Amino acid sequence: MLKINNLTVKVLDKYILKNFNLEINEGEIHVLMGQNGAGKSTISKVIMRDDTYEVISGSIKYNDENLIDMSTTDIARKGIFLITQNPPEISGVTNAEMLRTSLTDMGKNDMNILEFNRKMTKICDKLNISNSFIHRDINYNMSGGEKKKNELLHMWMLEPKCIILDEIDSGLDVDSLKLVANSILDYYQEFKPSILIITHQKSLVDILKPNYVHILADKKIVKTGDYNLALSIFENGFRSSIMSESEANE
Amino acid sequence: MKQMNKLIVEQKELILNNEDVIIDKILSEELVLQVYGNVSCGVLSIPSISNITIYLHDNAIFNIDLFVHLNEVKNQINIYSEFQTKLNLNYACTFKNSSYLTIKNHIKNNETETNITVRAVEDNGKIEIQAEGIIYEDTYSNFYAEDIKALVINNNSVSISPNLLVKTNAVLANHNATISNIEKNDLFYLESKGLSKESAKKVIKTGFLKGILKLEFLKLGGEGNE
Repeated sequence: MLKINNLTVKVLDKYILKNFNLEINEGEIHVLMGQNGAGKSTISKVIMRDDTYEVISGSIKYNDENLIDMSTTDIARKGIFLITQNPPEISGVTNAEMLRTSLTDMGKNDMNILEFNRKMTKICDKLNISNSFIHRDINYNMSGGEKKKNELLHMWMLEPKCIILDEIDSGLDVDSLKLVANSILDYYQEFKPSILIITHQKSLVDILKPNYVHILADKKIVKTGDYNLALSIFENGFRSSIMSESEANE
Repeated sequence: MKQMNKLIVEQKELILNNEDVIIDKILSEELVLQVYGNVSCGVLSIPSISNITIYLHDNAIFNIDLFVHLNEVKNQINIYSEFQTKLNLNYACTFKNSSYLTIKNHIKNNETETNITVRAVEDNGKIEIQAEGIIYEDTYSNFYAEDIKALVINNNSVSISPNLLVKTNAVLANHNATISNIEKNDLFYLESKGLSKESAKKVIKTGFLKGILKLEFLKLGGEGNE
C-alpha cells in the first residue's frame, strides 16, 4: 500500500534521511521510534509533500502511484491523513467550514447540513468533547489535548485509509491519552486503515498493538521488530535495542 | 439568531437608540451616527467617498461591525466618545485598486473603552490605513486599543499607520499593526486535509475577516458589497 524506497531527503544543505525504506501494507500498524532529531517527523511531512523538504532520490508509492509527483491536496484525496504534534491554529476558519469544504472539494459531501451536523455531534460525543467544537475555529485557543481530539474529529469525518500520527500523544494527560488511543483503535477496528505511528510513549503502543516497530537512526531504519522491540526500547533505551545480541553480549 | 432591521440610509444623520440594525447601504457621502444606550450595528457597504462620524453619548455601548469591499474608496471614520462609553469597532474589508481608510478617535472624556480592530485582505490592490487615537489632556481612566492587520496576497502595497497621541498619563493605551502573507504552514495544513490551494486560500482569507466580526448575521452573510 505505502512503499518508501531508498528515500533521501534534505533541508537546505542538511541531509535528514538517507536511503530510507519502509513498507506498510493495508491494515497494518507500524510504529516508528527514534531519538529526538532523528528525522521521524520529517518522514511524515515528506509523505505529505511539504515542500520545505527536498527529495533528492528514491520513491514514495501509495497503491503504486508515486506521491513525489503529487500535490499535498492530491495526496490527501488519495486517503492519506496526517496528524502533527503541533497543528496550527487557524483563527476565523471553523472545523465545520473546513470539513465541508474539504468533503465538497473531494466530491464526498453527500450529506445535507443536518446529516453533517448529526455526524459531527456523534463524533464529538465519542471524543468526549463539547458539540461547540463543530463551530470552533480550527485548533484556535485550544489546549494541547483539545487540539489532538480536534484532529481526531477531522479524521473521523474525512475517513482516511492511511493515517500518519506524529507524536499525537505529546502533551496529553493520562486520561486524554487513553481516550485518544482508544478512539484510534475504534477507528482502526471500523475502517481497517494502515497506520504509521511516531511516538515515544508506551501507553499508545500498548493500546494499539503494532504489527511492526522500527528504529530510525543514522537517517534510516536500522532495526525492525515486533511489539517486543518497543518493549526493549522502553526498558533499555535505543542504543541497547539497536545493538545485536552478540554485540550486547560483548 | 436575533432579528435585525435592515436599513438603506439616505439621510445625513441617523439616531440609534438601544437597538440592533444592519445598514445595507449608505447613500450619502456624509453620515453622522448618534448613539444612545446599547446599540449593535452592522454595515455591509459604503460609498466610494464616505465620512462617517460617530457620537457616543454618555453611557452608550456601541458594537459596530463593518464588512465591506473597498474598490477605489476613501473612507474616513471620526469617533467622539462621551463619559463612560464603550466602543467595539470591527472593520473587515477586502481592497481592490487603491483605497484609503482613516479612523480617528477623539477621547475627550473619562472612563471610556475603545477597541478598534481592522482586518484587510488584498484583492489585487493597495491600501493606506491610518488609525489615529487622540487622548486629550486631563482625561483619566480611559482604555484605548488599536489592532490592525492586513493580509497581502499579491505583494501589492499596504501601508498602516497606527498613531497614538496621548496627552495624559492616566490612560491605558496600546496599538498593534501587522502586515503578513498567508502562512505557508496554514496552507499546507488545509491542503493536507484535502482542500485545493484555491479553497484553502479562500477559507483563510474569509476567516481572517470574519474572525473579528461579532454579529452572527454578518458571519453568515455575504462578503461585503461585492
